[in-house]
Amino acid sequence: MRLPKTSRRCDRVMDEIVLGHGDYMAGGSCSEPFLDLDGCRHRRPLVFGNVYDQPDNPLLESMFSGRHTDPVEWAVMWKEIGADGVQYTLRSEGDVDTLREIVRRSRLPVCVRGDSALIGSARDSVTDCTLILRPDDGGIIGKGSHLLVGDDIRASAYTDEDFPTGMMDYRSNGLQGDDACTLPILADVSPVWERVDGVEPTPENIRMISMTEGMAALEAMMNGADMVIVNGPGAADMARVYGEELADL
Amino acid sequence: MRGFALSVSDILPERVPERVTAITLLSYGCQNLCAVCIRHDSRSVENFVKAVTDTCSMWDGAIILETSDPTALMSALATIPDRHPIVLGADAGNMEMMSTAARMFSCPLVVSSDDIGTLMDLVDMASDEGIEEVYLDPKVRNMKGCLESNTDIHRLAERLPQADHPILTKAWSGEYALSIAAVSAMRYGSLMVLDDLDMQSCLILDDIMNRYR
Repeated sequence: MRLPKTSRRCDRVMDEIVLGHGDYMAGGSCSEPFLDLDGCRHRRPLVFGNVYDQPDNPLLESMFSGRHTDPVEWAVMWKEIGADGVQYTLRSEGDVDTLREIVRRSRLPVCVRGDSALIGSARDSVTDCTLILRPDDGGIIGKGSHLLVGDDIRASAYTDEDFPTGMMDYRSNGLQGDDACTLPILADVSPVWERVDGVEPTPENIRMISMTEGMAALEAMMNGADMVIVNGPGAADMARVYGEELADL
Repeated sequence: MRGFALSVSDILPERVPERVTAITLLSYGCQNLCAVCIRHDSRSVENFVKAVTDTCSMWDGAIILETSDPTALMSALATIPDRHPIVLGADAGNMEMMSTAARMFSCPLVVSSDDIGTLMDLVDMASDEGIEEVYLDPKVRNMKGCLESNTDIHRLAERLPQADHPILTKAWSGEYALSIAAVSAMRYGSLMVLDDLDMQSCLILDDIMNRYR
């Protein structure tokens, strides 16, 4: 049977951003995620690994062989296991020297998350690469030469009520010409870990959270995420492999 | 039907009850685990019939019979005339006999082809035979293929009645099978047939299927 054409190509392209030392790019999508049928761009979403200044989950110990007690070592480990970037999550008075060391030693793009006062310090302390600034309290801060979530990037978290459909709607609207919906999308699936608060660090529990977080990352990518933030190395590996396959790289 | 199935092989018929028990236990925690697929791996009609009858005596939910052998299919269907299982295994090479068997026992029929045009031709043949319920199996090999085929069929359904049928996705076992089934659930898939999944993976797939109804 001869079939009618089903391709739906768009004239619009989502915004593209340059990260880190200018060597990483994200966004710039021109179709539904990964769809060759619509002439998709063959670009894999970037995978960011979380680094906390105060790690508190016992599952992290075995996942990172104890290196999670030092944020700089932890970030370097993310690089060693193939992450594209690091999110440095500040829960306390984060020290900017540590942030500078993470940037210097990992050479990866870094997203800094915390309250706006901490983010302000981070912004001023790093001048030789482009950070993603992600203030938790939505406080308005100057971004300098960096990228600010809200201004330059749309953020979505696993705990959002409209996760993940909000991302897909946003991207579809942007590709259909809505100028208010053109930002690249950052999806944080690490809140999946709230499900394992207080559980014992058994191999079964580690596998369970890795699978759940990996599938959440897949779901985020299938719904238009350009960057995905994860906690666990297993999920990061799954996200990277799935992204490569879907992007046909 | 929307949900997922786990498979039972007929290669060791004596192990079938144990396998069906395991699937039954998994189904208690997963509302979308709605069917058992009996796979005709042994090439023995006798083994297949025994696996089918044993499974049907233990499992009250939906049944899928996976075979490309019309003789084995007819023999198995004759032992469970009231169950009306979904018949999986009809392709361009055996369509006539498989669709005749499915019609005789009022069974839904899955038509399989990795070429969408051929798949639509098979739907026409099933309709001509009088089959009322048809599933489409685009024979995907990986996640990417699943995304492309399911989207293509979904869009075709807006213009072609032949494409307006539920999509069945076959996956294998383990983490990669879960990812294929998840992609299918997120992109218009209705029924996923997997060789095997553990409890954790079943729960993850169940959760995804609940959110993409």
